[in-house]
Amino acid sequence: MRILILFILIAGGVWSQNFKFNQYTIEDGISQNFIYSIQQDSKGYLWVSTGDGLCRFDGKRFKNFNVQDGLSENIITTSFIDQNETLWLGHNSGGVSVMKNEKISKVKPSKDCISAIKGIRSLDSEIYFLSQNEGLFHIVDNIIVPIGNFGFSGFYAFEIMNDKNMLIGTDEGLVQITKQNNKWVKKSVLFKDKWITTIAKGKMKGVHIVAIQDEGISEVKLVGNQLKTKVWKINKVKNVTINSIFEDDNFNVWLGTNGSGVLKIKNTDKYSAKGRVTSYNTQTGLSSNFVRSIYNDREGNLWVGSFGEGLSSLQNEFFVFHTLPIDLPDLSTYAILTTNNKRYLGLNNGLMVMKADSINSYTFYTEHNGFVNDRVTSLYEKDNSVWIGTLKNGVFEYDKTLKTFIHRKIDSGTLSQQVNQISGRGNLIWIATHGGLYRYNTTSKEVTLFDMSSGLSHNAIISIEISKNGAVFVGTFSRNLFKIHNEKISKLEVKNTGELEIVSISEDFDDNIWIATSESGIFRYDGIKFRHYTEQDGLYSNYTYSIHHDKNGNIWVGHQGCLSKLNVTDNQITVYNHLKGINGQRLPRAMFLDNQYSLWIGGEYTLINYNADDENKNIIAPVINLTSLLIDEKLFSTNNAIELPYGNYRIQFEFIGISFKNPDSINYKFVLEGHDKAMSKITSENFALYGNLSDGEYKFKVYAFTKEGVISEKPAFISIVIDKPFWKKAWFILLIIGIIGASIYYLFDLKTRRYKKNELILQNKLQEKTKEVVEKAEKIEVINKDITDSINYAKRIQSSILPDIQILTDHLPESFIFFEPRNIVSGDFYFIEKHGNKIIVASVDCTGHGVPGAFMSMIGSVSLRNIYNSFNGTWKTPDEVLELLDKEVKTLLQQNTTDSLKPLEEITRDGMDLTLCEICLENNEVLYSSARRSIITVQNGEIITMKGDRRSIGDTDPDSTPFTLHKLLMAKGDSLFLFTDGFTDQFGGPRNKKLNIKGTREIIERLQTRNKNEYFNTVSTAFFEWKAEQEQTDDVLFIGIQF
Amino acid sequence: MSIFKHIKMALLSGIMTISITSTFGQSIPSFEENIPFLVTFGSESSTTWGDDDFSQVFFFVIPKTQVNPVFIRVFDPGTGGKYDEVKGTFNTKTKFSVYGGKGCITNKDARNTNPTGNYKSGNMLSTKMFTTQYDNAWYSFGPFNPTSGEYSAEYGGYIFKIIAQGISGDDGNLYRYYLSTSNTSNKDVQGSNAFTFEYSFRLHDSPNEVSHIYPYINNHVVSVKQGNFDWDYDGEFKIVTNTRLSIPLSKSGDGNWARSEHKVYSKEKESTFDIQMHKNKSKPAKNNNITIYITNQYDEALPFYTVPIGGAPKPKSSIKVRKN
Repeated sequence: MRILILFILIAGGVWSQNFKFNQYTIEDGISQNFIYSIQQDSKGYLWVSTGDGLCRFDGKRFKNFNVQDGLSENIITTSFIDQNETLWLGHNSGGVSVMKNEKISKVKPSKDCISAIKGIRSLDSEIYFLSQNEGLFHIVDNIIVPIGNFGFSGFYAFEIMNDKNMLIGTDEGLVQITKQNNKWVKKSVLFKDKWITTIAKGKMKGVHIVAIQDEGISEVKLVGNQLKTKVWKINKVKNVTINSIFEDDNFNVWLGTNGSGVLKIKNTDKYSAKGRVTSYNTQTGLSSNFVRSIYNDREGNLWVGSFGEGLSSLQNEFFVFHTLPIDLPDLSTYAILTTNNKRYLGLNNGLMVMKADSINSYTFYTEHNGFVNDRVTSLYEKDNSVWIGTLKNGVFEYDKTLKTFIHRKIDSGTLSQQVNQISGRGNLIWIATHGGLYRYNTTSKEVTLFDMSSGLSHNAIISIEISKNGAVFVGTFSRNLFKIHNEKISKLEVKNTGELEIVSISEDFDDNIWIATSESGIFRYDGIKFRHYTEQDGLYSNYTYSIHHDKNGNIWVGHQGCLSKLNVTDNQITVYNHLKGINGQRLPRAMFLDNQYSLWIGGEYTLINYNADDENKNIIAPVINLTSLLIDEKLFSTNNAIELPYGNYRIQFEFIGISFKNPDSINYKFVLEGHDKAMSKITSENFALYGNLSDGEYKFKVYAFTKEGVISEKPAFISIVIDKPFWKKAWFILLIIGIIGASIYYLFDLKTRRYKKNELILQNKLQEKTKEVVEKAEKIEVINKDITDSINYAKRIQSSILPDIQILTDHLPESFIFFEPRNIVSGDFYFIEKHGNKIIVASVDCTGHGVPGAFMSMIGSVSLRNIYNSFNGTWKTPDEVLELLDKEVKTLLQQNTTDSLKPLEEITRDGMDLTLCEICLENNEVLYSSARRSIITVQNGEIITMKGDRRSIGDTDPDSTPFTLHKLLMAKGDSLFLFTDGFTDQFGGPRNKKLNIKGTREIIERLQTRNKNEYFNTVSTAFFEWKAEQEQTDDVLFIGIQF
Repeated sequence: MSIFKHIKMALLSGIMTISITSTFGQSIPSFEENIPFLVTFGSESSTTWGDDDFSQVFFFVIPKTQVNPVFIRVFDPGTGGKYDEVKGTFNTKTKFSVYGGKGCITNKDARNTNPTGNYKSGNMLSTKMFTTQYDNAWYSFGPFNPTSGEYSAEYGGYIFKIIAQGISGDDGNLYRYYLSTSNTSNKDVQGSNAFTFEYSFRLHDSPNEVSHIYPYINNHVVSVKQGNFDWDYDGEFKIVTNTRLSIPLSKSGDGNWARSEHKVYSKEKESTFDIQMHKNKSKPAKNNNITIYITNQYDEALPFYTVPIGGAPKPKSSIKVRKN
């Protein structure tokens, strides 16, 4: 009996390697557990064809479509995504459905096509498909058009080789059809009478892989127009029914079989009869051995469509699950030790020792072969021995060479037989027991006990860890972690916590000490302080069993049925639960990092091997998609830009980043252009809500990230335009502008019309006025003419009173008079009379000019004549004449100042300025007096200016002094020049200034260079040149008397 | 006999008991039929061995309530070894093919008694050629999605069809079917049934065994015609109805057909007939294979259900039995 049991223990089991498949069934939302076909579109969605409709999977949810949604039938036997991202679906009774942009339509059914569709492909944008009983068809303008059956009756697979050749798998062989004269015809048949179950394109160009029922696999290649075959000799696939094939990027070939699960043929072994095949079946983790379809997605995940057990995916192989090869109750692994060539597992019932590189060679030690039937709680390698701690029987030493056990009795106490952990360094072995911590010196055999009497808080030592510097960290029931170093026990208080049970301790690569507690999460001790990590930080649970670091320094924590991994770089915690295969295993303190830096984790009936390199490789960016758009709780399509009428909207965008490797770790950031100033913070929420969006143009963009930070290649986006209110619209603004313009125009027009009306009125008035004016003008003209005529007549009168210059020139022949009235008649006049041998000459400037001046000139002229004619033998000198004249003028003009009763404004200030000369012809003596007028003489070539008295004729100034009499003796050739202010006050010259006395002297000076007969012309020319275009200022009188 | 032989015998007995028990329910032939094997001969055989057309078509009815995979299992599908009928040496190839989908049953040719026309109608779901493999062992076709059968309200569920065809050789292939939810053991598909329109089977050699087959008489049948082939006049051959204890049938001899027509009473409509085969008590035929069909008045074949619809008829004993 014992022999029989030993036989079972030693060789009875199989050390099998398990793979973790995620499984999706009806319970997870898939419409049926019969999976016929799997495809992935460019958006990352997995399209799963089932016997009860189509399922779209985004890594988290299935969305199902059936005949209610427009499918031709619910059983979808095959599917195909063409280059336009159109999903073609073939059905069980010959129907074909099309899904484009999530809208399903049916291809018009044909009575010629009533059996299951077995394959759909496209060639030159044309869709071809194979019907199981009716053969090859294509779709023309949404109508199914038969091509032919080529003499066969059962069709199961087809592939397009090139534009002129196809392969069709029938139950009577592999048929090559070729296109001749636009008609497909049978070219050849291979594998006659064999059932071709499936055909797949190989990775090598032109190579197709053909599965032949009961024959295995053959490569088929077109050489010229002939098919060449190369049979794969690999025996392990010969007697299986192959339903699906694909060749991966590494040229490994994967087979979905009916009854044998998934088989992977190693790339180098295809042609070898003894080629290696990896089996993925119910024995190694797959849910079903009946696989209808397999698919390799963009991330390299293997998807398995089973026939009856739903969908499975092999997403990673960083966890490899090894089923313990024996079947005993409560078979948990409590300790792991891996040496160069052996692996030791401390189990609940004994010790398992196996070869590290062999899955079938192991020995299980119990009481039957030298060990005990006890839980092995700890393992420690020391030289050629393995020290073994047990739950009840203390410590054993296993000799690796002799394969024998020695029971090491460190202490006889009962509690010390309960060993919790063994560790060591050098010749010291530390044994943590419920009766204290023992240190055993393998050289001196000395045993030292550390317990409460030594300073520890409890005798039950649960865990120990020996750090790189030789310090021993001790975990017990306490709120302290204890440290024994150099024989000294120190207490490291874990603050802000209650009583702890420190179940596991581990030192990482950076010398941090990590402790796992039974109920309070984990702590990191960096040599100074503790940092606490709990469920709130992301730990799966505060109940922990084990702790250890991996190759990358990440900290792994064992829970009940779950693992947490703390990334020490960013403090992010990842939970590994049933979706990663950690399902239900209780994970005691059995973690071991082997010398290959591969982490081993013990579980129930299972040993888990974690390879960090496999987890991090091949990280593909997720594909981000908008899944729904809720506007005021109403669902909108995300396929097209949205245009909304004006209003305030509550808009919710929902999205999904598709990454089948780790769908739960996708994060997002998004922006609503036109609203947000910057991208959002990274969030794990897969929706964005905007509460009150008003008019504007918005573009929502969202990116997805893996936990490693790999971002989706391009964002998902949608544009939303919320219409402006009418008052912001161009048409309204234009309308308003138009109205304003029209109003302005209207007002302007009104004003214009009024203006025109007024203008018309004014014109009429103007015309009337003009007419009136014209009439008046005419009258005025008449009057003017009359006046002018009168004035002209007056001029004639005035001219008649002006003396003849000949009176003067008879005696002084070179004398001249330049007389230029400003108007027709002049206020200036000259007076020449001869009395005896005296010639009286006066240059007179009356007040005003024109007619008033003329009147004054008449007064002056008459008065002077009357004065000179009134002498009656008593001669009066010029000064006396001026006094008489002044008196006369005042009398005539009633300007006597004595009449004080006359209002001042009625007293005229009219009068005249003049120079009066009396020339004695005998001796050329000149007597003169001047009222305000200067004279200029040229005597002996010297030009002399002499000012007149500062008194005018008719001047009312009561303080005026009498006129002064001046006497000049002129010599022959001398000249005397009299002039009125009209000459000197004339504006002109280059700077439009008055000519003044200075200018007058210059003209006279110029005369000195002329002949006397040129004086008149010179003076007149000089005057007019000075005046030029300027208006004449006043009447001008210039008298030159040449002696 | 040593103790080990006793133990071995005891174990074998146990296994046999389990095996017999496991044929209950979905086994074809069924327990109630008491038919040891179905039979199909190689196409090069003589029809005098009892198979008139070297082909047998069976239909399975799977209720709508069945959503999990089903398997059609064939016991001893190859020709050779213990059970099969050898003619010289075993040289027979038998092809089993399972069909479902549109036309599987509704195609008229599928309901013929003879394998003519498009009797292989529907979608062929699985097929396998057997020579000598799976002797005394089960081979499982499937899994099949129940909905990939052809749904027929008339027959009460999704219909699958299995055709056993003697492709070559001249031996008799004796086999059985089992409609199962497992590919490794026989587990009933609850509510399922099976039927055929022409039944070819092996009779027991023992004269004490009575075999039954159960045609269903629907409401439109006013008379039935039965045809039996190669009965070898091996005993009594009769119909029992719910009103009549015995309707004797014409009996065929070696390699020939015998046919007879019988009126159906109104009370016998929508019920199952029990065609009973009582072998001769003396000199019972050995390895007797027989083929039987039954049609209505329009020569339309009526189905033989392995699980009789409404149960096997039990006429009241007070009814007087008369010879037809």
